[in-house]
Amino acid sequence: MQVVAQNDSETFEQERNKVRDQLISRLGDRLESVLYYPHVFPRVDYRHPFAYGGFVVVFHDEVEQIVDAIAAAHSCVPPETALYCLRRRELFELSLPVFWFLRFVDHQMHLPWFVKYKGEVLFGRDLRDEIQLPANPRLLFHNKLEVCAHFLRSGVILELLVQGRYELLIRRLERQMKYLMASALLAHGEWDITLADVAEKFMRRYTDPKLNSIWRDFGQLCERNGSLPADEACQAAYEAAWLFETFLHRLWGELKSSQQGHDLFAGRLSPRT
Amino acid sequence: MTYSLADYHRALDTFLDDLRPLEEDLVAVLLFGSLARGDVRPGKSDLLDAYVVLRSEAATERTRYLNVLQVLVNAGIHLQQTGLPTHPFFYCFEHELDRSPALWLSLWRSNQTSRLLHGNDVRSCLKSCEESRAVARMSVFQMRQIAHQLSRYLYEDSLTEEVCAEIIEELATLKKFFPIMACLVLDNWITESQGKDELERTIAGVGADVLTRIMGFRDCTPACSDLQSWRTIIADLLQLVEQVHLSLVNDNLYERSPVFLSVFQAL
Repeated sequence: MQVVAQNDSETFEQERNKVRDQLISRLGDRLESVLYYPHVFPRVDYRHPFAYGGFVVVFHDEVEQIVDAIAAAHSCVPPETALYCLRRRELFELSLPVFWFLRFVDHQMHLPWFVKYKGEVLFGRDLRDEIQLPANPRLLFHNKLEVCAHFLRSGVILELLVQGRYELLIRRLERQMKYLMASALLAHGEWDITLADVAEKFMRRYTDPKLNSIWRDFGQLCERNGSLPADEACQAAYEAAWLFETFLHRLWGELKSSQQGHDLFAGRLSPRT
Repeated sequence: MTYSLADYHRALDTFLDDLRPLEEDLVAVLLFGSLARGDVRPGKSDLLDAYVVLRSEAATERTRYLNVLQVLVNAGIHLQQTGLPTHPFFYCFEHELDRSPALWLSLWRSNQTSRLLHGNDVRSCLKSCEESRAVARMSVFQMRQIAHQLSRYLYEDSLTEEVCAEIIEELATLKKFFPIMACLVLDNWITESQGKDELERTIAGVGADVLTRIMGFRDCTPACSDLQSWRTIIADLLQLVEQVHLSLVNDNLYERSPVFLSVFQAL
């Protein structure tokens, strides 16, 4: 696969247009719209241009035999690129949360906001106004905490410690702390964040000094990460796991206090009628 | 290398021995998955579907936490050294039992799908909260998108061993969770083993034979060069996913579920 530098916007445009043209050529009259959205946190460990966002391919409501169309759409898009395929009347599904592995949850969490407000129409009808935002983003915050407690402890902390991949563990946990911050901000309707400013915005919103000090301590671990001898790297990885655990614990507390007096189903999503 | 059921039981015994240094910080060890159900396929089934419940203080006292983690990691290393297919086990702290992920509760709580290996039987304390249940009941819609990713292989001219292994894993995961998630939309909380029958019963007109075929496919995997077999099973699963999805968004099914309505109904 061709690797393209992040800042090479001309090549990025060309690649994206190539995908768009292939989608149009293969799916033609079944397409209602093709949208492209940037992702809230570009993937830093992978330099393909589309690792920074994804496509939403919308079929006409009348398309019944959809499997062929979905397969054709997926064959046009590079494997590591996110692609959502649905009919127009199913657009509300983009806004629904999922309890699943971290990479799906992390990609999906900000999706409706990024498609609606930062997405671009590459072909067909502009459906961005039809994207419904989750009426209760606290649900997404809760889900992120639960996914971390379930999947991250097992699939990241335990797995990487067992494999002795200490540097990677610290990097992954740093990123997951930022995702946690992003989900906590989302609970307050704050969605427009970047990898660079999420910590600052989080600390402004969540003033618990303990959260602040955990993040500061974690930052010091990250600064040393990669330059430590093996035994110290191992120690640092265990310390990172401890800091992550305490961060998670404090955020559960924050969520609990923010939920008092709120009705989970006070706001509702609705299918397009 | 050929493995037997005895290898799995030996690994389990070693695992429990490895957890002994946890002493009072170990509340319970639950077993779920194929070993608990008694349907291990030696060499194919993964180790270890275990849920280790730890004392709450181990989550808040640094030294205690680090000691506990070290013990868990050692146990994980020994599991890996068995050479059997492995994935990391799950762990949580006692104060989290009443906020367990709703999607997994049926796997952990039922006597048919889980058993207590050590400590207190905490299964009756496992509960999920309203938020968790709501997300579990909506997850099938994103699971559909996850299933779609398999569709790219329908157009591949060749498949590598590595890709085939990934496909098998994806198929097995979808076979396990898609029926559970689909039934959850209608507030029908089922276990993995009920998946096919409940899906066919709940959604009229759906034939879910492909779910049975996936297990056969996993046990007797076709050669990578047998593209037709791979395409057929993927296409059949995607047809099932789309058929179920269409039925779920059908108005009649919405009307059956008040909780679902409370999330989706237009204001």
